[in-house]
Amino acid sequence: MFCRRCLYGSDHPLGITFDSSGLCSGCRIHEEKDRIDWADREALLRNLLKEYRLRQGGSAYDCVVPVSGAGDSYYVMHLVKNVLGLRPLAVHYNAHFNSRAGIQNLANLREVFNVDAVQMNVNPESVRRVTRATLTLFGSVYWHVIAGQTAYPVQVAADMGIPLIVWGAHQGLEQVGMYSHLDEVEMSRRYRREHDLMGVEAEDLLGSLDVVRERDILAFQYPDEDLLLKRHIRGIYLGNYFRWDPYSQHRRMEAEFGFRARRNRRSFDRYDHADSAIYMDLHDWLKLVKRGFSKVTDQASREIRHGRITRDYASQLVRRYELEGLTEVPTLAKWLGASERALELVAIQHKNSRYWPGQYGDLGDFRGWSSLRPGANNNSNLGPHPQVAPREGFTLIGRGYPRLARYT
Amino acid sequence: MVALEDGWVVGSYGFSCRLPIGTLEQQLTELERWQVDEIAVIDISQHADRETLAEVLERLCQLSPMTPLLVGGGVRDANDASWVISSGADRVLLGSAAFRDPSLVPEVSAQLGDQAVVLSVPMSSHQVDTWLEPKTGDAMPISTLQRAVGPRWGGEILLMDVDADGGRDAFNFSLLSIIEGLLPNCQVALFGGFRSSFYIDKALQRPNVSAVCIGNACTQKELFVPRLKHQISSPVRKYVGCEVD
Repeated sequence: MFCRRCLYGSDHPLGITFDSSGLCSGCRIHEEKDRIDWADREALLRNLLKEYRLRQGGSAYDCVVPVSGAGDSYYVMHLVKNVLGLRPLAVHYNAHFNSRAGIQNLANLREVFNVDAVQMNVNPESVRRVTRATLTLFGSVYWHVIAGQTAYPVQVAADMGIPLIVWGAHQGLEQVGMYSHLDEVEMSRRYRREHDLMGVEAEDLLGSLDVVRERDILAFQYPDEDLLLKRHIRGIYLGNYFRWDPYSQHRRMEAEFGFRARRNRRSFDRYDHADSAIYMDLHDWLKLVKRGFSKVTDQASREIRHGRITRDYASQLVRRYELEGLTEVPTLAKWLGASERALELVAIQHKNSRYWPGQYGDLGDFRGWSSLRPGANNNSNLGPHPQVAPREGFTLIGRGYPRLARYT
Repeated sequence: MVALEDGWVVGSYGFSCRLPIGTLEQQLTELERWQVDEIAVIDISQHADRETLAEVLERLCQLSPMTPLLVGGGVRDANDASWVISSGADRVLLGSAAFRDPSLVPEVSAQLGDQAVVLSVPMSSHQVDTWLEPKTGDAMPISTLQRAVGPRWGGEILLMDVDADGGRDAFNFSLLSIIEGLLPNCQVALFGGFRSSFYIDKALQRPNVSAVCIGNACTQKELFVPRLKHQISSPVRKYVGCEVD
């Protein structure tokens, strides 16, 4: 079953429900964005924040803000510093697969928002071991990034006694309407494990394939209950209090604060995950192999809901981009110490046969969501690929080269 | 409470809108970590039947949680109820079937003992003189509850405030007063609109209230139950771990 408004189907990995009119839960919850009195919501947030400002005997920071070199980091930091007037500590997990734009964005963010920042650089050998394991076990090259980005800020908050963590939007709410905005859903171990980490905690990797050692997973471990309770740690999502519209926000951050977008071959959206050379490349391809749809379906569905494109145009966009080739496989293969064919075989090993009917070590012809939707055809009228994205490679640990303040 | 629809944990809003949450396995794992007192697993699918009940029971058997289990949804008769208990549940929840058949609760209680039987009684503030069929919303005079449970029944009623389910409203205690007047000897667990310790304390001060059941909020906030229990002044089993300031 597919939603009659957006492009999502009933086997969305985050779960999805449909009402009697054929609308999915994501579209229904999105409608709240136009009904909610956002001024009221902001007032509610300001009231909530009172207890976290200038706590007596507390830390020098009001909150932790997880950042990367992607666009949401800019908007969250803008809201936290410029709109809400908080004193944030920016916390960054180095994703290793850094794009040039991502490194520049992160350095620029620290300067334009004038924030203190801490960074976790896990040693490359541990990241490589973890990535080998997650790629082999469940076909993910990106698990370590998500695990690090969702654990390290919580570790810092607990260690430094900063009880409030401020995140951007809740992915489950935005994509499939997992919660109402009025639920004010907060960060949780359960959501992280189940949906962010595909059900696999760092501890689950220990001993797998004799590759991952205890010292490899320290940065990926979520603090235990006792510590979270003792330090009163909570993580809120700004998407519950401000009308969240990523595409508009990214464009605004680009214009006002020097955020840099990054072209990629697999989507019309130059903003999402601009910090990564891998996300919209092999990671996105593996999503297509395992789930039958790729990031461009998420982005096109989001744009339908915001009323900027029609469903038909969105379908054409998906068909235009989802089977586009990759550029970074040779780099990743070299870094992993594997051959490109080995990566291809891992993808085939984890393919969903419902969408890829090929046999005997072959993916076969794609039969994913875009071809299963009622009225679908395989043609796109959008013409040649509008984005040129040459192979860039990635930088494991980047110092940053901000544009705004360059001293020579 | 863990509500299931088509095998997936869902958040319920006003007994009509359902939003996707995740898997039973992950949700149960978390509730066990939180040391909750009992887990109610209820299949609220429109088509819940013996087949879907078998799937739920099989998944629960594989998980083998240490926490006591209340299981419901798709229980049609006394045989199904016995099957639920023999499959490892501690108590069985009777809903639609008991609404349709007033002899079911006494029959199941006679087989399994009152202590193993819970009757769900959804009520709405808009029609307080009735109780509702959980899935269709059909209404029946509240006075028929007396006949459905018999004169000396020692089981528990799960009184559900339909209007407070998943919303911002707190539980309507006038619904409880009606049940207390009708069945003064029954233990009552309350569901719907319990998000703060204030209302839980208010509920637990009522002599007939045996428990408060929490649904959506358990999926929305980190360590919701341990934190809530710490704030509750009524005697409840606290989270055993660190001392919370």
